[in-house]
Amino acid sequence: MNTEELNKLINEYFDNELSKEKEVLLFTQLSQNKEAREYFKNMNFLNSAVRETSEKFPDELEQKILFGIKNKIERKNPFFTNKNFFAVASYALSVVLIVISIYFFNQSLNYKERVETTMSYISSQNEKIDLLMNTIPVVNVIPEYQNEVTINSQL
Amino acid sequence: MPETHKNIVDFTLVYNKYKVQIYNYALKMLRNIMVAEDVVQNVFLKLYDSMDTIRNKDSIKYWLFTTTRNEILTLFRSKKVKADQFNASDVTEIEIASNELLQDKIEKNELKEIILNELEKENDEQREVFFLKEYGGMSYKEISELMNISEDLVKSRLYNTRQRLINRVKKIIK
Repeated sequence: MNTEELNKLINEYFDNELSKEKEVLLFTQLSQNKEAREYFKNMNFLNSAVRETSEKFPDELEQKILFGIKNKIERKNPFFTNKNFFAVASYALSVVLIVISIYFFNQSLNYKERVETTMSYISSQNEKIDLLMNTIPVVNVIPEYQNEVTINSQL
Repeated sequence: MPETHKNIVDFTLVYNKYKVQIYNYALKMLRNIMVAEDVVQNVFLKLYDSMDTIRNKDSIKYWLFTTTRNEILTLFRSKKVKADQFNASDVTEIEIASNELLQDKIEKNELKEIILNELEKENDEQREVFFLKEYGGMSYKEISELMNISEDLVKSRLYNTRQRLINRVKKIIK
């Protein structure tokens, strides 16, 4: 195996693309080839140097993306995910309760009015009855015992 | 679990797994932090919208890189990208802990700049293979499918780029 072929195997090894069989072959060759060993060392150095050039994911970008996703979720389900949902629901419930209270208050006022009317009607009727009763002449009832009472004794 | 919740969970898993890879790929290709951030943001927002339509979850990585690549190519075509903020981090950003550590950080920074400058000299296709491999963590097969080239071409482009980088870096080591 010439040096270039060996170097290509080294590349594949660092790219995690080398099969186990070829890996054994590579390390056998490396033990016998000084030039390839040097290339392996350089590749190792380059590998770690390139890793150093990788940038950290910026926090601001993360915030922007997550905020964007949050907006998308809210737009998809505005009713259930909006944080103002509970406030809106509370207001709606309050309004409903106020309407119901006003309705029942009006109903009770009507009922009270009807009761008062009925009561006044009853009292006027009572007065009428009293007046009628007073117009009837006085009747004297005299009891008379005209039947004879016969007492029989059986001795 | 409701569909929306499932999508959020799936999205979070994918996002955490690939965000660094996608960001570094976009950043290295575009060499402009602001534009790269916009691209990454667009890609992940598109991903969230497409969570319902991506049935094969194994293809999400391919979907992500293809979408990122398309966004980058669109920007290249419209020539909106100016590579002016790539080397944003410099020596002044280094926190001084100790002399030894400082020296080490300066060396690392220098090396980083040398590698990035060297990569800039490569042509776009050559560089892209390298970025997809090193920052995207993609396999030869995945790169060949994404770029629509043969696996052998992927290997040879990678090999050539590394060869040039090694030759450049070797001078510093010595």
